[in-house]
Order: sequence, then C-alpha cells, then structure tokens
Amino acid sequence: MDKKRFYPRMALVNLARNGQFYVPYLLTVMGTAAAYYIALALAAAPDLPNSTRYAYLTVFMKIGTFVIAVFAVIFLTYTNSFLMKRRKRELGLYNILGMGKRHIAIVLGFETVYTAAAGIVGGVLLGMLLQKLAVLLLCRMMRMDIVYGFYISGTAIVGTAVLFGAILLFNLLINLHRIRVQNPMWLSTQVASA
Amino acid sequence: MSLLEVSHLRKIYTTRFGGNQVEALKNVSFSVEPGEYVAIMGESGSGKTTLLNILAALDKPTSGQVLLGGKDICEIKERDMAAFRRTNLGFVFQDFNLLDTFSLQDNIFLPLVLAGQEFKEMEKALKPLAEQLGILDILSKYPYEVSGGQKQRCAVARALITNPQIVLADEPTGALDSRASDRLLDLFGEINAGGQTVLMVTHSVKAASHAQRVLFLRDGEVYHQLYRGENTQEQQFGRISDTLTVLAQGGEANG
Repeated sequence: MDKKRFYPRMALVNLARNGQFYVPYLLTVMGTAAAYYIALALAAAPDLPNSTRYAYLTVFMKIGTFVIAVFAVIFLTYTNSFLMKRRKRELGLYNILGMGKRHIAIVLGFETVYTAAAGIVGGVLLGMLLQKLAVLLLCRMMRMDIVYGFYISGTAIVGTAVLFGAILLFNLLINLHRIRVQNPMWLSTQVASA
Repeated sequence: MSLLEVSHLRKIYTTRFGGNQVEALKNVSFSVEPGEYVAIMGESGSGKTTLLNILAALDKPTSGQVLLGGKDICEIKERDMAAFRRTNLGFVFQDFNLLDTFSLQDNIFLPLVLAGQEFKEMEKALKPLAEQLGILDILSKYPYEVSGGQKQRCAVARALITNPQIVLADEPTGALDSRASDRLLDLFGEINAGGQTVLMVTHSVKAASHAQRVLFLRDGEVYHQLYRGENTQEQQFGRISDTLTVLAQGGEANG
C-alpha cells in the first residue's frame, strides 16, 4: 500500500466506521455553522434603510452572532471529548499494535480536515437555504415594511469558515495533547488492577 | 542465547506529587528461551501486570534491564517503539480488545494494515492461521455476533499474524467459561508446539498447568519456579496448587 495515500484513506475509513457517532457530530457542526452564517449574514445585510430602528437590528444580530459562537465552542468541544472517550480503546489498540503516536496524530489531523470541510461547506449551504426563512420570520416578528432580498454574504462565509475552522483545530489540539500524555498500558481496563 | 532476558528489574510508582512510593517490582530476574511456554502466577498486587507492561514496552522500569533478542527494549526511542512492538510482540488481552466497528477479519488484519502490507499478503497469512484456530467460517462476522471463546481465538490470530518473537498474554482465559478456556489452552499448547514462544500471566492454576514452566511472583520478586518436565498436566496442576498454598501461608518453598 502506498504510504502517502494510507493516512488519508485510513482517516476516511475511521470516520465511516464510527459513523454512528460522527454523523450526529457532523450534523451538529453543520447546524451550528448554519445558524452562525445566518446571523452573520443578517448582521451584514447590505440594503437596510438608514433609520434608527434598523441600526438596532444590526446591533442585536451582532450580539446574536457572539452568543451563537460561544455556544458553538462549548457544544462542539464537549461533543468532541465525548467522541474521543468512545474511541480510546481504538486509538490505544492502534498504538499497541504498531502505529506510532505521530502516525495516529496524522490520521486524526486528516479526520479533522474532512470534518471541517464537510461541516463548513454543508453548514454554509444549509445557512443559505434557511436564510430566506429566517428573514421572513424576522420581518414578521418586527413588523417590518421592507423586504430583504436574497443575497450571499462573502463576509459571513469567511467568518463562519474562520470560527469553525478554529474550533475544530482547537479540538484537534486537545485530542493530540491527550494522545501524547496517555499511555496505552493494556488499554486502561487493567491499569486499575495494577 | 535466551530470547528474553530480564535482569534485576525494579519498578517504583510514585504518586504525582511525590507523596507515596509503591514498590511494584523489587528485584525480578528470569530468562525465556526461544520456543518456551512460560506462565507467570501471583496474587493481585504481586506485580504481574507491572511486569507485563514493562515487557510490552508500555512502561519503563525504575532500574534493571530487559533484553529481547539481545536488544535492550528500554533504550528504544518513542518514535521507533510502535514499529518495534509491531514486529516483535504479539498481544492477547483478557477482554479481547477487538474493535466492534471492524469485522473479525479486519480486526485480525489490523496490525498488518498498520504496517502497510498488501491485502493479498494478508489473506495468504490469514488462511492457515484461521484454519488452525477454527475461525474460518466466522471471519466476516462482527465481534458482538460471536461467543467469547471465538473472540479470543480471533484475538490470538491477530497476535500471531505478524509472526512475533514472543506472544504476551494477560489472563487470556479470564473472561471465558471453562470449555472455551480448555479449547483456548489446547490451542496455546499447539501454537507453542509449532515453535512460538509464549509468555502468559494468569491467576488460573488450570491455565498455568499447560505451560512448560511456571514462575511465581510474590511482593515484586520471583519467589519460586516449577518446570513441568515429564509431569502430565494433571500432576502439574497439583504441584502448582501446592506451591500456591505454601505461598499463601507465607512459608518458604521447598519444591
């Protein structure tokens, strides 16, 4: 087997095998990314009239993006640590059966790249789809007399990519640190009886 | 030359802030010849698992030396460690440690996959092994679909497929019922007869009586050893129980 292609393939296989947990995780990433994208896009709405009322709207949306960002960090970090606990045995076995920690780190890196790519792209697309719906809802609640057009916000896409890229990178770093300090030691079950 | 040479092994565990010190191994020395089948017995707390962890290069001794095939395993760098384990050691665990998300065949292939081997070669290596272990017809199943005995036989296949210098087994019969245990121990005997060196850590007198030699560990020291020699397995069973009784009473061995 080609060594270079081995790690990306293994990462893909790992995600598929752990699909039971990774599909919900991916959906979570997409969902929060979509919410964040919508909030950012609304905050950066290009065609608002210049009255005080609409200025407030932008401010509130900015607060909203901040709240969503904080929740996304907490939620995804927690989910990630749950997933890694589930995979402790798997990763320990890789280590014992002959995969160096460095190589495990490479595989985890590829897994994160896949998750980030699928999560961010999927999240932004989902966000665009739901944006119109969010606008309609907003108009109704605020009894606004103008109609937002559909627009794709470049700043919102970049903002979403940056935030979620950063969160997933942060999670990856936590995971790598955990792998570095952990010793497989007959895979933890026996350590207690030592 | 011995395959495995352990000399004056000492291991002290220190709690994180340097408070309590526990001496898990005091002074352990023994050697294993190529093709031998050795069992290590001892009560819990005697240092068995610590010893196994050190032999598996998962833990470092405080002092002392472990030579495998003339090479000091404590000197191996972390980055080469995984490759060393992969080529030299086979592992059998008490609770199997098969991955539920992999079919049994993929579980057995795992060490070869990690070594980057070709699928064809893996299949070639698997066939005779699966035949010997009697798992040929369950290879496509998943671990949760088969019995404990079958799982452990697959785990043995995973340990043997890399042709390791030595197989380390930690309580391999610990989670099996008596019939599955007997079958597994017979298989270990067969594998050993085929020239494979086996080192087993166990509580079970039955399991230990299958080995050619039994080492008794107490308070971090090798307290006694019994060669099976010409004894039958039943006779050896009796000798081991007697030794354990003496050990439990705290007396000196006279075997």
